[in-house]
Amino acid sequence: MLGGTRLGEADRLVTLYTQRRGKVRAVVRGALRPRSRLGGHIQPLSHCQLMLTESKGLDVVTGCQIIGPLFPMREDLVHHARGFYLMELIDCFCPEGLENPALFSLLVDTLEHLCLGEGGERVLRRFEVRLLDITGFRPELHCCLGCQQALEPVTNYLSPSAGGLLCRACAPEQSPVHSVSVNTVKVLRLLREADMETVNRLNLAPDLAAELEAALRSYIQYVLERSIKSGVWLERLRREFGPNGALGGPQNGR
Amino acid sequence: MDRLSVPTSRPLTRLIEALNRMPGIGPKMAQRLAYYLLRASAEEAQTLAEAIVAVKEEAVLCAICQNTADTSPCTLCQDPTRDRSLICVVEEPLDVLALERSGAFKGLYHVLHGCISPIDGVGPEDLKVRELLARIHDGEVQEVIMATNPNLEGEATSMYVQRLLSPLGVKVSRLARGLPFGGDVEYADEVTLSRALQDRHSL
Ligand SMILES: [Zn+2]
Ligand SMILES: [Zn+2]
Repeated sequence: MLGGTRLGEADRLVTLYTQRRGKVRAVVRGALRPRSRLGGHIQPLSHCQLMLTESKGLDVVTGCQIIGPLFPMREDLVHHARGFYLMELIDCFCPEGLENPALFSLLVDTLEHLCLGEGGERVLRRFEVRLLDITGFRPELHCCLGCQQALEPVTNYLSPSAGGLLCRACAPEQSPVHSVSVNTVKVLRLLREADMETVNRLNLAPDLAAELEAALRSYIQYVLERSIKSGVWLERLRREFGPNGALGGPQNGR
Repeated sequence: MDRLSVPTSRPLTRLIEALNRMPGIGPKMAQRLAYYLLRASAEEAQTLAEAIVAVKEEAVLCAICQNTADTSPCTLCQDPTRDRSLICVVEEPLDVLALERSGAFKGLYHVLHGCISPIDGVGPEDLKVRELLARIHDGEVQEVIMATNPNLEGEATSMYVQRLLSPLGVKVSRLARGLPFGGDVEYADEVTLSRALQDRHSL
């Protein structure tokens, strides 16, 4: 589930991301009643098997079984913020009713790792790179899109409008480009191919991680033509509580 | 509003549209209400119209708990029998009513008027969080009970507020999440069950 709004007295209209039908809107009858069995099952970012029945042109959820990790279980502000971020990205990148099994398994994979508490931000970077690849916005990372020459191992420029990297000579002065170091480009290429274990072992220096995040964020925002609001929230938590302070786990005296 | 294109008069359509915008009222219900009001006596319609205007003009936010009230501070905040060391934080004024009906809480309230919703761009500054911090700084409060809704947004709100409050030396707790009274373990969903296990306490 990616999100939902209240519908009538106790129903919910939820946005779901499904393996076979992509993004789907469906009604959960009585979801807001405290004893609703379905309402408790259909939680944001939980992987479940659903039964949808069509009624009056609307999809209605008639059955639900949780099969993956329970995302909302961990009481951690940053964990939640990452969840919101994933929900927003999927919602923005996916038109309704278009299935994308590769994206679905990427999402499930990413959620599982976030729930295990592994990888943290690196898991999100991998998600972003793969998301761009899978949805057809794959950035060119090997040769300059201006002069077609293989890129030198120096600082180059990531241009969302060109769709990948440009060398110093080709990078325009004004239009939106993001300078990226050799290491950032290396990590970008690695994230495109790497499995989760490799990503988990990856140890990024703080400034490299920051550059990577900023480059990907501006690329994604250019593609979507809007800002990612929950990305702003994630950054804010880090700013207010510090990179480690924000990773605090269980609270409320347990 | 295409589905409402039944032949009607212009004022009636306007009323139906206005009613339809209210939470929990669909197009059909809006039509029913509008036709009811059309048939109702002039006096009844007048009373309703005046009540709607009055609620906008006369209802104020209590400067202390931020709840909607007739006066500021509200009667609850002025009540000398309430425990001033306890504040229960809720998302909406209706939550105060629900808790008051339970009769189980004798402290004061604080209404946030919403919850943190990163995807919708709703942050702490859009809520009455600063006002809550100000109350804690007064020093009388010993415990803050977070009673936000048990969903991702409600929990994010409660965790965020907890982060802000704990350095101030005030105890922060939250409502237990578990099985509804009169419910059935067999039919409980997985999330509720795991939460109920986490929140268990000894007998
Ligand atoms: Zn070039
Ligand atoms: Zn008050």
